[in-house]
Amino acid sequence: MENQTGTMEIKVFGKPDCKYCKTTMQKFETFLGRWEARDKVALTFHDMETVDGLAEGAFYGVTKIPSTVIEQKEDLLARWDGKVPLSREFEKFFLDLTPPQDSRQIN
Amino acid sequence: MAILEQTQFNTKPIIEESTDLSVFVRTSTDDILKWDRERIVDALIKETGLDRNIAGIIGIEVEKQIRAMAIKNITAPLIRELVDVKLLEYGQEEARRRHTRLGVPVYDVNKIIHRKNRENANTPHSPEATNLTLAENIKKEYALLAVFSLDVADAHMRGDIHLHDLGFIDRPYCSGQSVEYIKKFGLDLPDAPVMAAPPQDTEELLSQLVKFSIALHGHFAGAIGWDAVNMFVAPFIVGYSPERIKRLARQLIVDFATAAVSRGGQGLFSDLNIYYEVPKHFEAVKAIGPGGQYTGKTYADYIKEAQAFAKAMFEVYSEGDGAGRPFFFPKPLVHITDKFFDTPGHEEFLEMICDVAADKGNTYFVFDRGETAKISECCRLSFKLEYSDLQDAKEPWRMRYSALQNVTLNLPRIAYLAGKEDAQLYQQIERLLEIAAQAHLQKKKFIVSLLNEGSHGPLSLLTMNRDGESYLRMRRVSYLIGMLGLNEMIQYHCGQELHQSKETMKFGLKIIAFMKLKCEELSEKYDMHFVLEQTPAESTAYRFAKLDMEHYPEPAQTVVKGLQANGEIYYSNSTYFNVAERMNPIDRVRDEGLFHPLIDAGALTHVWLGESRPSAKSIANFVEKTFKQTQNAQIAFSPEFTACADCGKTARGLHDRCTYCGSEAIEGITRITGYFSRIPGWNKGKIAELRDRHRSKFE
Repeated sequence: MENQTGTMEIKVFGKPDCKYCKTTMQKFETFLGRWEARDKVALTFHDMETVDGLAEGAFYGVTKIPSTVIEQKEDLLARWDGKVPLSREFEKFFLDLTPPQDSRQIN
Repeated sequence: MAILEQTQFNTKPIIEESTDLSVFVRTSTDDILKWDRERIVDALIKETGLDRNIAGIIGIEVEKQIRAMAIKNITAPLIRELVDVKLLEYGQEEARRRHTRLGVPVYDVNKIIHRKNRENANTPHSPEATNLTLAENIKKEYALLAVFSLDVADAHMRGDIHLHDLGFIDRPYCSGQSVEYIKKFGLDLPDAPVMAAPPQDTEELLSQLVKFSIALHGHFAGAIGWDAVNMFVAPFIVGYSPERIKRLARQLIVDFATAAVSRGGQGLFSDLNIYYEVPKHFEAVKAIGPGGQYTGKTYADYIKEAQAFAKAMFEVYSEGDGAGRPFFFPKPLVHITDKFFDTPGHEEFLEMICDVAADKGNTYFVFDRGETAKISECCRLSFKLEYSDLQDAKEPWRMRYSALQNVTLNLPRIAYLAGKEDAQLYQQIERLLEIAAQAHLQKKKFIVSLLNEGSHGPLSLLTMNRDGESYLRMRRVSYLIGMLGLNEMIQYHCGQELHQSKETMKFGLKIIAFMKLKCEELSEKYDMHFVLEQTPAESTAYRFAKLDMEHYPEPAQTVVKGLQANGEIYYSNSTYFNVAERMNPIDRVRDEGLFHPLIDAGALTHVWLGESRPSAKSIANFVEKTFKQTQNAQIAFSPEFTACADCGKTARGLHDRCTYCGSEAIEGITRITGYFSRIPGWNKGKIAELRDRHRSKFE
């Protein structure tokens, strides 16, 4: 998904055969869906086995997978290297994006 | 004209008897012989495999020509050239290629004998050095004619690629060694009249270390690196006083520094890897002491002695040579690791090595983050240790590494050829990578043929077998692919330099990522280990810029750096930013460092200090920040000096005259690429780069 200026971005860096990388992507997809924030966030997977993914990973100094970066207007909000983030660690970044009636579940 | 037609036309001359031509031939074996046409015929058959009839015709034709000249004496080289012209006339191009004489015109020999070699600032000007240059010239021609295929040789000649160290075609490029080899086996070199048993004391160990380095220097084109030197020396200095340890450290450094005898009088390009901690992979390894015997302890037990030797080495570096100048060699490469920061006393040691970095510039800071372990050497080359190497670490004498060759791609030219089309750009890179791979295959084949000659061959030293495999372990050899001028490639292709925008940075990273993945594909395809290395480019940055200004002047003049009017031009080295850019040093180290994880065989960022002399503390902060907050693989700080030949003093900074006595008999000293050297020996491109370098201020 292409980023739009001001849109919050989640970049997940990993490899296709890395189960933790898949888990990270699934986790963000699940929680963003649950919080109805999916259309307000650009979630992208960067395959470190491709030229584009490797270059983007290098730009962010990624040396471990999975790595996750959350940015808004190019400001770094949070970063995890070599691990799957816990939802409670990233929940706060999406609170403002979530409709008030939303009932969220955290794990 | 085809030779067969000629044969049919000229049946009579073939049976013609040898003539009564009264010409004398001065041969290459210092002899004067009477003319004999059959010598031409025999040489053609032997050297080119030509059919006797065809060779006979060529002989007759050349004889006719010589007769027409009406001369009394002729040299063998001139006859060879006349034969070569005839071979060309008869369409025998391949035979002409095989029959070519390699050599140097009188004009060039005169120049080589009288003027200093500027291709390598580490080559002095002496009879031994001119021998080296002359031999290099002939071997370079030989390599391009007989080792490499025409397309590879042409790609080099055109400047699409650069085949490094062609003058050293009959040896591998760089190497990394283990002190344990000497401790265990002594010095038993194939060509030496006697063998030295495993050293009994420290003096003997250090002496063998330097002597073996000299022997190896004659068998490799580049640096001789030694891993964890202070740790491996440690079992020999148990109970020694600090003064004695320092004397030994001085002996080691001075012996390396003054061993300018091994190869054409060149300085012994040597690298000593140093650890303040005992690296994890050596902790439980059984230590070898005097006489090649195990001491009953592990290297972890010798940490105090290892640290004492490292400190003593840096005390010596801090004092400098007899005139207070920095030692050019051996280069100390200190590994900065997570464990380094957990080791008691590291603060004091860090400040010490940073003081040397600030004052003399010697220290190289090699960053091994996480589980990474490597041996560094040459200008920036490093061998990352893989799982099998860490297994070898249990018997450290097995840890011997080499890069067989380095081939660099001219990235700006690729941009000119691509005409600002992305697809073309990648296609051109891929094309040149394939040519580079072919060049490596051809060099490998040649080196293997020399190695196969075994103990009677020219590389017998590298075939010696003391531990079940030959000294040069071909199974662990790397094949380097370098890059030059990424900044100018991006500048031409995107309209901005590498550092000027996020987009150009990302595009630059994409180019290097593409090259890295293609190297991995080529490694699979050819079952060889192709890896990217930042090209030190002492002469290549100038050569490529010069060739591009000749062949692609329109695009080249828009991006080439330096002074075009007087030909002092260059491209930026490897993935470096423009050296003239006034960047904050930490920004440069961080942003240039983004490329380093993609470049597996070594990368480095220079911090040019110039005249300024930062405090040890500020350098230490910088180093710690670089380790913890960036991906940079290696940094070095480069001060500048002016040494006076009259008063013998050395002043900080580059000056027109001696700041002490006013003499103009001075010479500047600073780091050219990966080592210190005297500026008068630099080539035009490096002189221009020196002028442009932005010197960083710290405080």
